[in-house]
Amino acid sequence: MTDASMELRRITILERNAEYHDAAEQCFLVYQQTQDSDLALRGFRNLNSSIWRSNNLAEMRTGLSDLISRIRKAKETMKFEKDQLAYLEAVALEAEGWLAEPPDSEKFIQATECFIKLGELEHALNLITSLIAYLNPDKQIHWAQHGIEIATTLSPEKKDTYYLLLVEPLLLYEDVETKEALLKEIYNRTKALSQINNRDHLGNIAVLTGLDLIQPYRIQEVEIHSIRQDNVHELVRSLDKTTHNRIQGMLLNLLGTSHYRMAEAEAITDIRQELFKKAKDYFLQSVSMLERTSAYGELLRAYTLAGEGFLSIAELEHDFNQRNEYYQLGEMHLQKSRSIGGFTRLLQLRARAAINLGVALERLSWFELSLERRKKKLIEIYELQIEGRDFAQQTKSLQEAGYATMYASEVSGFLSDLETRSNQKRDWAIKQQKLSRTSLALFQKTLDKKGLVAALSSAAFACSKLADLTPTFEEKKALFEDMFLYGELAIEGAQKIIDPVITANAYQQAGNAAQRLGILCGDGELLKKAIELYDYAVQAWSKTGERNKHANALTQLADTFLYFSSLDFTVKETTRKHYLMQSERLHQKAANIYSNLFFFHDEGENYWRIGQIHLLKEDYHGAQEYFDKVQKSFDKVAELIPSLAEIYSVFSTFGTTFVGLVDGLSIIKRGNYSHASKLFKELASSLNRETDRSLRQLRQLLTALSSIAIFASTNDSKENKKAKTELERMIVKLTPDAYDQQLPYSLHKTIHRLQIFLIAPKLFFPPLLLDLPLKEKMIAMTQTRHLVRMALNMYQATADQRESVVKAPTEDVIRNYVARISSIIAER
Amino acid sequence: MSNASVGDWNPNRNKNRAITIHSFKGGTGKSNLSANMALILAERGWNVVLLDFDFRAPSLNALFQMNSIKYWINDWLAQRCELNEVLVDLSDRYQTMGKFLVGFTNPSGKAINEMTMHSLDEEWQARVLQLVLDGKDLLFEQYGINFQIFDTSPGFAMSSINAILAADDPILVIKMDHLDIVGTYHLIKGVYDQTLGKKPELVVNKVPCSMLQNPEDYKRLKSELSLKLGIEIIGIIPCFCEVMENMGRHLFVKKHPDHEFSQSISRLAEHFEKGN
Repeated sequence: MTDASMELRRITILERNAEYHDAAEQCFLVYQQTQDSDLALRGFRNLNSSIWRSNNLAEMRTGLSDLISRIRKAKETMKFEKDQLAYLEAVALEAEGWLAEPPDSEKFIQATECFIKLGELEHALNLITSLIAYLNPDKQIHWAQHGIEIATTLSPEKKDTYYLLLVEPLLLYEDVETKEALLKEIYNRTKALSQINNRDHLGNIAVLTGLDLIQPYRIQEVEIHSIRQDNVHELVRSLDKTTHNRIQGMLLNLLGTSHYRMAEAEAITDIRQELFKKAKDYFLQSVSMLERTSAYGELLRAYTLAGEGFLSIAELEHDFNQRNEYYQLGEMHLQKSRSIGGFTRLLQLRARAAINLGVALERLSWFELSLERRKKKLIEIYELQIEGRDFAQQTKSLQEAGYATMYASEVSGFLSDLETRSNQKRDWAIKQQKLSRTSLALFQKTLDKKGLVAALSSAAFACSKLADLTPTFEEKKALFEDMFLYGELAIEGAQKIIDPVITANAYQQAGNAAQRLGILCGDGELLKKAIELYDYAVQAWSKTGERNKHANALTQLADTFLYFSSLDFTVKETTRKHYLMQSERLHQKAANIYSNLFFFHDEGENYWRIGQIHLLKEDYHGAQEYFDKVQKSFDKVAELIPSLAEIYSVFSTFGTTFVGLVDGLSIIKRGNYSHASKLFKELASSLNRETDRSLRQLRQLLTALSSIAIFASTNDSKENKKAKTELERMIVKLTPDAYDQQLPYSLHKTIHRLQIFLIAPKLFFPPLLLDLPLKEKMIAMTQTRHLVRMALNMYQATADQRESVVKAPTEDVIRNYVARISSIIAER
Repeated sequence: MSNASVGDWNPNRNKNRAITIHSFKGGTGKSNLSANMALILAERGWNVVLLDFDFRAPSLNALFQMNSIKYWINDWLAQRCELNEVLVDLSDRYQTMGKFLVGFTNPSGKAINEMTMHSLDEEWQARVLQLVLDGKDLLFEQYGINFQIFDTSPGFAMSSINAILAADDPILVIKMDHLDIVGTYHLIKGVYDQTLGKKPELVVNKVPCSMLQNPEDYKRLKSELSLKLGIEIIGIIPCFCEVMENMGRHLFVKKHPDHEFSQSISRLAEHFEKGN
């Protein structure tokens, strides 16, 4: 073997071992001896490959600069053929393109055109798959078509690999129709190829394009694995390590995406959770692969997807500490993707990073105990969503803009909840409604059915929020009607997609709308409709495994039965009793679920209502039993969360006192007034030391009952009769007429309202929870959310009434009044 | 104790004044002051009617420890009874020389709600004003009452506005509290001066003893507040722990007639006795 052939063999071995830099230097060394321009060119090819093997961005940039200067020097010192020179110029152009910040797409185009002319089709195709992401939409399509044409000239095995590489950047294209057509074309071409090749790429493309909803999940898992383990290894043998990492990362992203989609379609929670976890693991692997490359777009995608994965897992996690940890990991990955966003011109991905980071922060904000800090965070989240929307709008991505706007709308709703000043409260609610409508309009222009249903539910929710803050009957009614309409449309949409959570949510929102409209208008038919919708919601939630929401739907359904039984006076007594039984059964079911979840506040709430149902049925013994349970539930909360002990001891005392109060009522029923009076008096004196306002109110009530009962037992027939009438009247008021909106001053409501007004402000200032361990904090915060929401509802329920009743006249009102009565004064 | 039969009385002195006790803020001691002053006037032989016009937080019922009331002021205003049916004669209970009649307001939640429901109802309020003015004439002209004292709700309550309109001597009570002083200033300028055309007189209540070490302090406080608020100060009442300890359980002046608080109220009563 000659020296030259020995050297050539050495170069080949170095190349096979992917030691491209050494191979390049060897080529240049041999060129010095042989002056063989092919060898010099081979040296530059190896040098180029060595650069892309690097894991270090700075190193790569130095490598690219070095490549350019060596090419320039070589053009002067070495002798090349015309085509060889053109090739070197194209390589230099490509390198210059990558060195520009952001990468210069014009230089890529020039280089690609050159490669095509020279017949360097694979090099051209590689560059096309990269450059597409940096082009304007119209140019994207042009180059994608060009890419497809070039790919068709390659061997079948390489053809579908490139098809796959072309699909990814095309997904960003905004013109839905053109994009769909192009993707379909690629899909069909790959499908035709899959007759010859295995079906792996077809699965990938199907998953990416969503052309087939079910099939890809079935073929995906196994076949993407096969790409990774076989084809890619085969493929990358001829490629450098960086490219290998990039493709591996991409495929891992695909694998993760396929699992993520399978999870979204999965109804059984445990399996759903497993799939999300699997998806997350793939995304994390992808991150580690892509971090070694400069494929920032793909890396950003991997971080975003990993972040989303953590969020989804957190949503289904029951362990509070674990859940918090997942949210934090989600936030961390999304923060990372946001920071990478600066490297890329993929505005749509930057939008997604901002949007999802906003979602993670929103979830995490529930752990924030200071009201002010939480508000600040929510405003930050709102701004993130607006940033996301703006990025999305710049890329004309209606879908991402839709999501960002929808989330911004939801965050506005939370801000409205937190705001204590009425004007600002309403301003945020109006903003929420406007944004929800915009997001709806955006989704209507896309093919995203899921997004559309979510936006409809969100719009329904926004209507209910605004209705709560609207004083007049007509406006309230109009908003509830809109809410109902959105709810119905959401249900209609939900039937076309497979997502149990979205479906359940749609039914729940529609049920809420029907219930609230029914109560407002006193319309029994609407309440019947609400029962029907809640029934569906209960079934749907039970399939998702979201037990908390399932229990909530049960509670709503139970309440609606009660509303219905008290609203419809035409129902027969037996039917009414049936409704009450239904309501009790459902409340009991909800209480059991809450109990298993350690949500003792909600358990107590449900028992409170069952107690009231027994009062309605005049079953005092049963009522006592449940008020006793109420006390126990609230005691459990007090025990679980020491900082809330004070508040919950008040609730608990209510339970205990009501047990006694009901006892007194049953004694009255038996006609033993003096005994009842004594009992009421004892109960009242047991509350003597209570400083709590609502308990003082209860004490006054008991004192009053005691006094009236004394009169009822006197011999004076007139006094006796009057007292008995008064007692009857009060007993009627002690029944749960909160369900009867016609009795605004009912005792139940007064007590309830007092409770709420007493408790809500304390919970609005949650620093009292600061010393709690995390788990307790979470429970406390969940309770707080619930209570605050309840407080706001109660507050609003009485807002109209207080508006006209409690408000003091202004100076203007007094002036007008004095002007009006001036004649009366003048007469004197 | 019985309901008043005012028709039998003859006026023994030629004096008819309607006084409203009003304030910007709550907790200034209006009810305590009204009740104690009414009692002192009755003890001195004047025929006095005290009316609880605080419909938001009626308290005279508790102060006089009334167990059963047949008719409340609420019933009179809702025209369910006549004024004389509302007035409870407490002259015997307190052994006063003059008649001492009190009209109570129903403190039940329902009654408070009922009254506050009408708080912005101009028609209702105009009718109430008619009733109050008719009642005033009736009590002065036919039943020989010398003083009618209205214990009112604080602030801009319409019921208080009616009482002020009916009053000959509107009195404002303040505490030495910055917010109260500022609020009272606006109340005087915005409502009394500009709208009602009435010039109230001021009683400064619950003044910390540390601010009233010697007679000079009284003078200085009087001139400072008078300058600030632009109205005459007719009484400065120090804050006494004994009065606080009494916790509104009974009429302080009856139990401790020689106490300095009782003396202060007595001086205030003299002011009205001497007035026109």
